[in-house]
Amino acid sequence: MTKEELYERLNEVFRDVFDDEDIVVTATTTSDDIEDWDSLEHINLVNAVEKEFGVKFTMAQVTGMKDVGEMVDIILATKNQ
Amino acid sequence: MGITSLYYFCLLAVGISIYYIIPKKCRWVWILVLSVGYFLTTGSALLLLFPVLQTGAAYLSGIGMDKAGDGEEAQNSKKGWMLTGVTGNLICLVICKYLNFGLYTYNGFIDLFNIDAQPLDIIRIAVPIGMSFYTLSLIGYVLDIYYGGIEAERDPLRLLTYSMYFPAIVSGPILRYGDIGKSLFEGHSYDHKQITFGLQRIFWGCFKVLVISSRLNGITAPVFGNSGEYSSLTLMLAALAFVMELYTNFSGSIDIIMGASECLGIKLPENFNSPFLSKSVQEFWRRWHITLGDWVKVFIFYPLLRTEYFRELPARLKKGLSDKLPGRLSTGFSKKTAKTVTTFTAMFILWLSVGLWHGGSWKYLVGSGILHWFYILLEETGEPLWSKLRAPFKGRVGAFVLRVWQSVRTYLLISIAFVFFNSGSLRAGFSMLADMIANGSEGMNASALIAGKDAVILIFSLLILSAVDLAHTLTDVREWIAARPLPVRWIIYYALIFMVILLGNYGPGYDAAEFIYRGF
Repeated sequence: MTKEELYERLNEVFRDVFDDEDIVVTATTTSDDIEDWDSLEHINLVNAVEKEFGVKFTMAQVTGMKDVGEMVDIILATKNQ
Repeated sequence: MGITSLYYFCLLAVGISIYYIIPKKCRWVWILVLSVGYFLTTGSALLLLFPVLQTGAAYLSGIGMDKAGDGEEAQNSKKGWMLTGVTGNLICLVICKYLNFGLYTYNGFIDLFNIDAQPLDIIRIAVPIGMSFYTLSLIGYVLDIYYGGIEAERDPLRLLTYSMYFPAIVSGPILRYGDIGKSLFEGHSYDHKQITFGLQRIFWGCFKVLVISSRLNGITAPVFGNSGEYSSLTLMLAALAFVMELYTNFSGSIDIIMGASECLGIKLPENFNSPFLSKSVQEFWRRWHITLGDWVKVFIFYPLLRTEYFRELPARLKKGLSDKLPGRLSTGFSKKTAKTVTTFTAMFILWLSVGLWHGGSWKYLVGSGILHWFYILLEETGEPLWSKLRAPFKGRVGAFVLRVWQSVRTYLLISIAFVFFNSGSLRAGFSMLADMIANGSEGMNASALIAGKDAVILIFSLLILSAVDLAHTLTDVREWIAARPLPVRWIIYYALIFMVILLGNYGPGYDAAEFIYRGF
């Protein structure tokens, strides 16, 4: 899976979770950029991303990821193992 | 030994001086000595067994998890060690703080339903200082290792220094080993600016506690518990005053604690961030007792929502309920509704935990827990209606009016909830709220509680507090003061010092040493 394909699928997950068809995420997107991305929705997002990509984040990763770029790096690292 | 007492400041002066004289590698040991010494001044030496045993349980659990290795079998072993550390700590907390909750509830139950049974005797148990704070710090340490966030500490004495760290043991903040561990043990070099800033924060905390909180206590203490004797307006004023009293008392004590720690070069996590500027109850809890909010979010709320049960719940709800609900309700039960129900179910458990953490009493379960969950539920689920009500507030003036109203509304909602916090029981809380409506103009009014000089000092001090809290949202106030010319700086410093010394309420009716959150 290329990074572009990953971002494409990730966009779909974000759009579904935040109920907003206009969302386009990049590596630098953070919770400040998406209005509904608060601590409540964060865990729903993480669960949805895990389901989409068949990965499992550790709790340290769930609470520690700073932006979408970090999330993508973790997904790619897990997939490539 | 209260943290605004002369003895405490002497302990700090000696402690900080020796800290910077001895070799760097011994400095954390000196912090441990100070921490144990301070602990011994707060109660029986036997109580020391609790933090020692609890730290021991967390230590063994950490080492066990570390040695478990990888693989599926190792995962089971790791889980076993994690559960040992968590339950070991919880058992101590339950024995000291929640045993009587069951007895009170049982006695209340047989009283309410007139059951012919003998009420049980309440057990008197001594509780070590800061138990609810250091227990959460230790459970957090165990869970952080389990979740892969940190490595286990190899030295049990270092872990004891973390759990008993003497400024923070009084009333928090709740610590995370990953954030503070390194800073506790590295032995900081003398930094004049850091010590100056630390002392300023200590004085600012004293100002909040001794000048403001103690005067507000003069208004609230006679009213709570005697609500039948006061007019409705006075009762409302007391409820509003108590929120400010709790804020100045708790955040003031945190300022003293943070300042003391800063003098040692150890920066603790912030616990308050101008909470009265919050637009909603949800935001209020992100700005008030921040470390508790973070703890329950990371160690209760997130793990709950990551269990299979909660992951599958939205789909199960949608499947199970959409066919069974009648007419419009069935079509209205969307995927989003199912997700909201799931989130609020987990959040209910979170708020029950927050309420229970404050103490084994129904007044805390309701006033510091469930009621706040209910507020947030109304805020979130009523959003379509609230957004319609907000719509007419347009333009700069409209937006400003709306912004002020949102903060006022949040303050009012919090005041109602905190009536329970400061009442003797859940029943007494309800009774005070009922008297607020029923008493009318009957009874004593506010002028009987505060007047003249004290009222002027209080209003003046609250204005200073509001100005500083507002300024905090724009800049670092201490850095701003430090950048002023020398005479301006020293006028500010002297004004603060003299306000604390001259206006501090040291009267016999109020024990400044008794911090409200010290009991937790």
